[in-house]
Amino acid sequence: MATSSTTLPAERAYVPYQRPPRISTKNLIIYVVLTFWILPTIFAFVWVFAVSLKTNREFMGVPPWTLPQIAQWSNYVTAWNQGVGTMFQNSLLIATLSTIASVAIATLAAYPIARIPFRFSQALLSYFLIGIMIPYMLTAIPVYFGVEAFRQWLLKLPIVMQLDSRFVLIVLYTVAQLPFNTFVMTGFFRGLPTELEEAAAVDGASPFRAFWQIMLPLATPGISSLTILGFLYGWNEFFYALILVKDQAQRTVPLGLFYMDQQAQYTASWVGLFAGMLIAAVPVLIVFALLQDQVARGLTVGAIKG
Amino acid sequence: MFQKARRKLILPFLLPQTILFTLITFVPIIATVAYAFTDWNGAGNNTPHWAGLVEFKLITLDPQFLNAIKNSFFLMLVGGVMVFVPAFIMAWCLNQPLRLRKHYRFLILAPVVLSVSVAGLMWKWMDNPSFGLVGTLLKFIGKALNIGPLSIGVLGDTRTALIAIIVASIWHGIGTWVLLLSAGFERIPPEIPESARIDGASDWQIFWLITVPLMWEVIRVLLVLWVMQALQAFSFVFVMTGPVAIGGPLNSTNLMGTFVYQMTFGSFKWAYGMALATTMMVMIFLLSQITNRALLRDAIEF
Repeated sequence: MATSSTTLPAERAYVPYQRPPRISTKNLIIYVVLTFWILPTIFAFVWVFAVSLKTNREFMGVPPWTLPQIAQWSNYVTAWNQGVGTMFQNSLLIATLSTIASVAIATLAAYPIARIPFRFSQALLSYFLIGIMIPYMLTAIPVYFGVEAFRQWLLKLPIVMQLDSRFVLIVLYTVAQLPFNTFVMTGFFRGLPTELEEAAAVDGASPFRAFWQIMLPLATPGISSLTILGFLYGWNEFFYALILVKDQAQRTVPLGLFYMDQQAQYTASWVGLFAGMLIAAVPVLIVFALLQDQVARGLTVGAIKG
Repeated sequence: MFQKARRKLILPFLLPQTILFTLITFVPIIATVAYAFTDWNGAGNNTPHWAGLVEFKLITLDPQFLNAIKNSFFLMLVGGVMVFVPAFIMAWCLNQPLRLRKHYRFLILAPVVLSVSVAGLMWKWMDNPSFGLVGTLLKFIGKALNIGPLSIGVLGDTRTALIAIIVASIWHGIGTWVLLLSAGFERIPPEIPESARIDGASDWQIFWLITVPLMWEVIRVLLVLWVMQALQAFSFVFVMTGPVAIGGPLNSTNLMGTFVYQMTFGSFKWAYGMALATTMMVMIFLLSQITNRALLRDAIEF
């Protein structure tokens, strides 16, 4: 059974357009079930949006289902300037760089494991796959102390250097995704026909060129799925950011919003938090809306073995 | 010739990954397991000494950890039913030819792409009995039907807090399971239910006697994944109850994951935290294996 991760685009089965049937009892039940499920989601988003446009006084005083009297668009500007902007840039930077690094490193590693016969290749793959099995709590504590030790060591250098938590997170998110990315890319490379590199060799291409110009373009569907998945991971990760980020200016969106919620208790500024939540949510929702099929494929890649 | 030249790629291609993975994943795993056998903590004992199984003995005597295990199991079992039953129905519905299919799919999956802290905070405020959309409604129902916990807020009562957190995390995560199950449905060749229909089977019979058995392999894999994931749960409890009262009220939502965090980064009991993490790993491994074995059926080739 081939899954989307191991199927080339050209091999995908042709599915003729099916005209949806007219409303039957069965379909009516399906529509009711689906609608029933998505209503809370719609209400939740509309409510957060409505609150983000209220004043703090309105939020406190008026029943929650009412709409704002005058839309306070300035809440968004205030939230952006009071930290959400910095968080947003940090998250964008961290998610982008860690995804690129992780997909690149794992693709490089997966290629020889999948395509070049050598001793211990299977053992090496099993070694990397340990990373998929173990809970993240198991690595977190030594990682925390390792980072702390590195931070202290940097301070002792003749040139005083502060360790940037964003750099730490980029490295950690990169490494955290390596096992899964290697697993998927190995499966992907194994699914490609064996004659490809031989044909390239006959034409006089060097092994590196055969990889770079022939294998890599064919691996694009796998790479793009992993890129989407990796970006979502980097954009949403909470635990490592929680234990490792020291400086307020280096917080990511998930971490920063968490602290904004804590502060809202004291500063009595709730609407800014709601505006911040939407600023964090809307970009990923738009990307998801535009790339729905790719994201869906990304989320299922590798989960069901073919 | 080419094969020989190709072998030169092996080392440079594998080196970056091997170094990074060994240093930042493998060594930490070994370190956690090793330090679990010491007395290292942040309150005085800064140089670790070999302590044998002392920390593990403490774990067996710790009523808090027992409570955390209980809550984690509750999340795994009750949450499992609450995820898989609707996800299965939803995946099946989305595989029928429907108008607006993509729109429905978008809205079911949309929460998946949100950060846990966005989803957690949304629900924390939705459940608020004074300002939240759900909280005020529940308060109204609670007053009308005289149900105590509803009127003080579901997150504030020991009997309802964990359920409220499970609801939030399921709202957030169910999309992935719907997608995975629907990928399973798509694998079933349409000829099989088609020919059953020609033989006179009803929709209901097709569903129970054909679709479910053919989906069994997929369901088994996903349930094992769920067990592994549910026992590691951390973020929703932390975001919705923390950081002052993580696992509150009165530890009623404290999970294994949040308990390890509290012991390590809250109480600085480092060796104890590592012993807990090691115990957690063993439990997760055993339970996922048991689940896997228990659900094993003869595979149906199709």
